[in-house]
Amino acid sequence: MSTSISGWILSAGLAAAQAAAPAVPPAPEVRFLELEAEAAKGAELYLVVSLEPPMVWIKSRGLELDRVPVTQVEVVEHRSSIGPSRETTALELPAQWRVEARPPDPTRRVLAPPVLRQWTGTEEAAPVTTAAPAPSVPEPPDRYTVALTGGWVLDLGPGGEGPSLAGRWAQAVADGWSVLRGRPPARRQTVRLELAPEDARRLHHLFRRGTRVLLVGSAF
Amino acid sequence: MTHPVLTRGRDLARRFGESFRRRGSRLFQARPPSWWRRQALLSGAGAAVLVLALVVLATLGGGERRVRLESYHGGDAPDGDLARRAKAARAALERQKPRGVYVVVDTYDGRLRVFRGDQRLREAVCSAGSGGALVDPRSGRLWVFRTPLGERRVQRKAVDPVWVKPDWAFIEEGYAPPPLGHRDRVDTFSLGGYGLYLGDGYIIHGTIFQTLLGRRVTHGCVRLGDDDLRYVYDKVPVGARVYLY
Repeated sequence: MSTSISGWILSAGLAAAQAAAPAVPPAPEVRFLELEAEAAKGAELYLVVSLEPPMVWIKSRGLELDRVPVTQVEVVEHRSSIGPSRETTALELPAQWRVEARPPDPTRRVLAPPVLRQWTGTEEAAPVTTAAPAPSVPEPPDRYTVALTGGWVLDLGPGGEGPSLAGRWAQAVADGWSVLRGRPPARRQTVRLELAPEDARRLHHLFRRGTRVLLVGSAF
Repeated sequence: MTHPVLTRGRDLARRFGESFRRRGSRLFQARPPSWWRRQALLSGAGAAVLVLALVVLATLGGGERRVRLESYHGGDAPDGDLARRAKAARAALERQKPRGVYVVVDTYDGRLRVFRGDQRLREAVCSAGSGGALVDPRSGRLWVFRTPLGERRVQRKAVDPVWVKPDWAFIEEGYAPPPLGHRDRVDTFSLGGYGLYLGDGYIIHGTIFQTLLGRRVTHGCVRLGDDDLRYVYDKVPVGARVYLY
């Protein structure tokens, strides 16, 4: 009897110890934590895109600064009808890229005075005023693409209709040109973020050369 | 003195050329010029249609397919190893987070927020960089007026900060800048009552253009209204972290 009671106490103790032990995190979560810890070593911003919930997290040093909701996140590969066909490679999550080039900003204002007048010092006496002219602030575009490392592209904007016919036409010409030069068409894999126009504009200035972008299955 | 083989070669080439010209000429003369023009136009149009058809086919033939997503499997790492790695990564992340008072600046919406831990102490309307550019017509030098992004620290603070105007401040107004050290470069009023220096010439300061607060109009600095600037100056110590996004 005493043996069975001690056995019961032992098994109960083991069960309690198991319950108290922290659950082992799944491997993707560990990998993401490691990637983020690496990104957080620098003073730069980094962006985390999660599929579930669909969201872009703006972070620095592990601190969440802001988050932008995304309607849908799609990862697609563009198939060329010219040149040798290729097997689609799988993307292992979490993935990490860096921004290769800033997205174009056609609305950026560039001031270029044609000639400069000689400074006479008369401006110094000008009265100080708080009634400044209100310059119109140009809005960044709400649809744009960001070139990432490894041939990946981040496509941001409202609607998920994919590339336009004109875009596909231009791509077909580029593919044909590549094939004529004896090269396979460039691999173009896209992470497409469908989001509200205002949210796309809000993110535009954050994509600077070298900015890290992490893609995770779920926000851990 | 030419080698006989070369002489014979030249002779053969000349005879071949003459024969080719005679035949070509006969061929051309057999048809009127208008016929040749029509043929050329038809050939060109045909080639263009062919190329266009190929491009259209290539355009329509292209497509998209979803990329297969796979979760990182972690290799053959035992559970204990995963737990250890997760703990180390979490600890590393925790070490990076700010202690004490820190500032977060939303440069797009023009908001500056002061935090202590998760507690928001203050939210203020601010102005940040316009993102515009200025070109010096003399040298072609380009300035881009962006607010830096990421983490910075308050390096020093000043009451009644003095702005030593850089070249772009004059060029923007259409003037050639005076020499360095010129007294007209010293501006004692534009930065307001306080300044928090973030390095590389970027400052959180006041403004004489209060009506522009909340808009992206600055040359990269962060402008605040008088009351908010006084609060930030009092509350945020030297060394505090400032996150700009």
